[in-house]
Amino acid sequence: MSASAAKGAVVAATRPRRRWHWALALPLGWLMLVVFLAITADWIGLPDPSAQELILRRKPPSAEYLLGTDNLGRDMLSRIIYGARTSLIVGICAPFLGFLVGGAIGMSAGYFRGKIDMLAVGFIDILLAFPSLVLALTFTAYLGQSLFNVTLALGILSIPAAARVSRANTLAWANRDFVLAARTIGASNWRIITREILPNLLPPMFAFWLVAISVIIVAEGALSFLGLGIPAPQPSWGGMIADGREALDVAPYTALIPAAVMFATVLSLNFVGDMVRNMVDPRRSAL
Amino acid sequence: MSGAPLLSVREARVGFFTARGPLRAVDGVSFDLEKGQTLGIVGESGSGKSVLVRSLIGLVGESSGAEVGGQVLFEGRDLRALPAREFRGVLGRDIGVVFQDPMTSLNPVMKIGHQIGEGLRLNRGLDARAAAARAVELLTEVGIPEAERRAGQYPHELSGGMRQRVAIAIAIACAPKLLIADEPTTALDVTVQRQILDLLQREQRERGMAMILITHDLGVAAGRADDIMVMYAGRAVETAKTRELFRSPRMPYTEALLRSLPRLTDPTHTRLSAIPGRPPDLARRSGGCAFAPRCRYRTDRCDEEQPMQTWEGARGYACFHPRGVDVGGSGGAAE
Amino acid sequence: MSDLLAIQNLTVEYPVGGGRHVHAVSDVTLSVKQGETLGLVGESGSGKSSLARALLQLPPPKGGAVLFEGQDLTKLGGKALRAVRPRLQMIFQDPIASLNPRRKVAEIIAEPLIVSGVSDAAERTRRVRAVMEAVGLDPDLVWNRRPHEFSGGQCQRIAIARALVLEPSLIVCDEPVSALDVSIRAQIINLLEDMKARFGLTLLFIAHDLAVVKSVSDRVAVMYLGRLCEVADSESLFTTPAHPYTAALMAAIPEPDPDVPLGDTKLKPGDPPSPLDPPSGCRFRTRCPHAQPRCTDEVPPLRQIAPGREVACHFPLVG
Repeated sequence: MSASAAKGAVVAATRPRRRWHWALALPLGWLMLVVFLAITADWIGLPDPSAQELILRRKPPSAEYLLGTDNLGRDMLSRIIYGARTSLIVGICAPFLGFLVGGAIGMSAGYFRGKIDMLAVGFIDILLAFPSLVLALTFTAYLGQSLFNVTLALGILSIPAAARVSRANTLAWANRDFVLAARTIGASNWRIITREILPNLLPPMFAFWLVAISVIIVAEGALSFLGLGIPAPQPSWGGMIADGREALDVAPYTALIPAAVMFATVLSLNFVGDMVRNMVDPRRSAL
Repeated sequence: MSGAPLLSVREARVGFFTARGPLRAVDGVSFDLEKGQTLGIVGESGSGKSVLVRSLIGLVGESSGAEVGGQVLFEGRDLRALPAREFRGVLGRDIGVVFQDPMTSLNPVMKIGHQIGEGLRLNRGLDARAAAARAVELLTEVGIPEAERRAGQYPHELSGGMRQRVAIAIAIACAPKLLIADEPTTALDVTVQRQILDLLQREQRERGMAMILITHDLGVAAGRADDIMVMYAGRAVETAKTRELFRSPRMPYTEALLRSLPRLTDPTHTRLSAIPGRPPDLARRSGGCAFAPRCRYRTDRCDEEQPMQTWEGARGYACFHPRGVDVGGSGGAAE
Repeated sequence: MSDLLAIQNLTVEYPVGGGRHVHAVSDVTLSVKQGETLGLVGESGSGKSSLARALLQLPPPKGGAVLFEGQDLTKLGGKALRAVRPRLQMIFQDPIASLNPRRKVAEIIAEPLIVSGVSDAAERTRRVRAVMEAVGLDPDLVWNRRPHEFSGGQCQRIAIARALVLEPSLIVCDEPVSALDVSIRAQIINLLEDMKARFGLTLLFIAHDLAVVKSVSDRVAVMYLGRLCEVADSESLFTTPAHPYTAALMAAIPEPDPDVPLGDTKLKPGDPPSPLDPPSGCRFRTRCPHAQPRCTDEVPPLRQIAPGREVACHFPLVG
């Protein structure tokens, strides 16, 4: 026992500094491009993404329309970029909401244990038992389709996962001696949670959040594909794939281009998320 | 010493490449082990004692990203030059190993009787029935009551001390000529530690096995080893007969370590003579003696030059200012 | 000397599912005098760490009383208990796990001051620097660094500084040196002795290494499977153990001297029983060389056999 603990000390003391990984450059670059375009969409002289020009429908990519036009003659590039906005807003805000609520639930469950833990785990299990897409469908069908409602629905769906991650991590940290030490000096529960546990919880939660963004982008796509996502004419990647499906035989690019963009974005997010998760993995981090 | 030693290690080296640069975990260690003798290897964490022994039996090597050098002769054969198949044969038949934590060295999903019999079937060609019968005999021999019933149990059903007994039964199943025990009692309580050490010693004597006992506890080595090799920062800094080492250590590190230990014979609140500083960071080693920064006899030469192993017969030390030896005024008898 | 801490009939049990309980500490009565070091010895499962945590009310024990400076801690709740805590500190076995990896050394040591309401930042800085210097850390070198940049011995110094900064009266040291390298242990033991003298501390020193316990303790208590076996001043305990278990422990110590012959523990073969299902009567009887039928039927009470010597055995070796 004593020898292995001391061994841990040596490993910790000689932990190498992490180096920048070149493989991170491509996915990170793509994500930065998507975010940049989504933010600056209004100022880079894009045509109106909702302007229909039926004469110009289903034009293949050309110098004028870099990515072609869709079934209603709308500029695909413009719609992809404005769609990125929608996807990113939903993708970033929904898991954030879920993590705020789920994180708090998981932390209280993991820290206080006992009845609070039982209640929280029961709540999580009930949420998980609902078929998630059906829940989201019901939600948007009743409350109406809007960016806010879609985000809210997907945010609620991400609560259980966030709660589980934060509960598991809190359980691990709450048993460490430094938490006991904080209690011996008379620190309140609130102070222990915010000062001792939360700082150790944030890195793994951040890594998980990155992965959750990609899951939510796909989920939003699925909702839009089923016609219950972001209402037309506001562009979203899922909606564009759904629209393009009608013309898969004549103009396959109308569905394939948004699908490819979504694919590249989700893949990049997963890459970056995995990388960040490895960095904050408790087995490889300082302790 | 008649004939060739059972195990002869020459200039063993193990290097690792870390993000902070190359690191010499074991740096030119040589020793001989005669048949039936016990060598205690004593050192702190990071001294290289475990890495050294693991490199001898191929547990640390190319596949684990280490660079291994030196010569390892077992019964006159160079283990490092053997084809993989023959090497495995030697390991299975002639060398047994017991690790610190039996919970990780035993397979959690395999019955313990089967685990003991496995080596017998593989290396001694016993059939399943004979191996099972022998496994029960071995369990009885290592002091496990109701051996027949225990053979059908899984490791988690046993206590820590019992698990270590099972690990010993596995290690001695094929009647090895050399038993390597790597901190075999560190995870155990004092009274259980005593029983396990007694068992190891009894088995060793009855079977005429040689043993390498790796420990950080000078007390454990004192009671069980014929010879002791003290390691510090990857090097063997002192090798001697156990009694000589404890009675008149040559190396200042050994001397300081022995003095720093609290003794039952001292009255309460006797001030301990602590060693200042701490063991060096192996990735940041400079030339010179690794112990110099903590040594009370340090001179400029110690910082500049690595002391080589000096031999007086079977006794060796790596120090410019050995204790208890008259070397023209620089050393002299301890105080 | 008066008692700073008096533990009375302390009982700690943990549920382990299936309606079964670990009997970690059973009916232990023990006191620590002002200014002394009481060593608490036992093997794993003896309940020594459970006892330490229970007396700090982390969590509160199942039964019994813990009188500290005249107050029964088990009767104090929330705020009142938090107000006492600064007087009663703890040092842990694994120094690295006892420090928050995400906080800086200065923050870690200042935390107790913040919690107990020292709001003047300059005052906090002064006191943190002073305590760092007292434990042998250079404030300018360690101030903004994080625990993983330090070795185990240095981390233990940081933990000791954190325990000292509130100037407590009692420190519970739970195996403070057993995770440290052999060449570092003496430094930390000496530091604890120095700090005890300098700050007028009382120590409860828990360890399984008898030589370490002997070196620091004025009195020693021996525990086995949740019960006290023997309490005595350390000289008499180590020269003439009264309980057969104490004698076995002493005989089992591997002495760092090849000329000391290995003692005979006289233990019956077999491992210690599980604290889930401790033996009836005397808990040591299954391994005791002197066990009689009476030991199965009757729990031996802790009784005085000489001034300052108590033993829980029907057939003590002395007295």
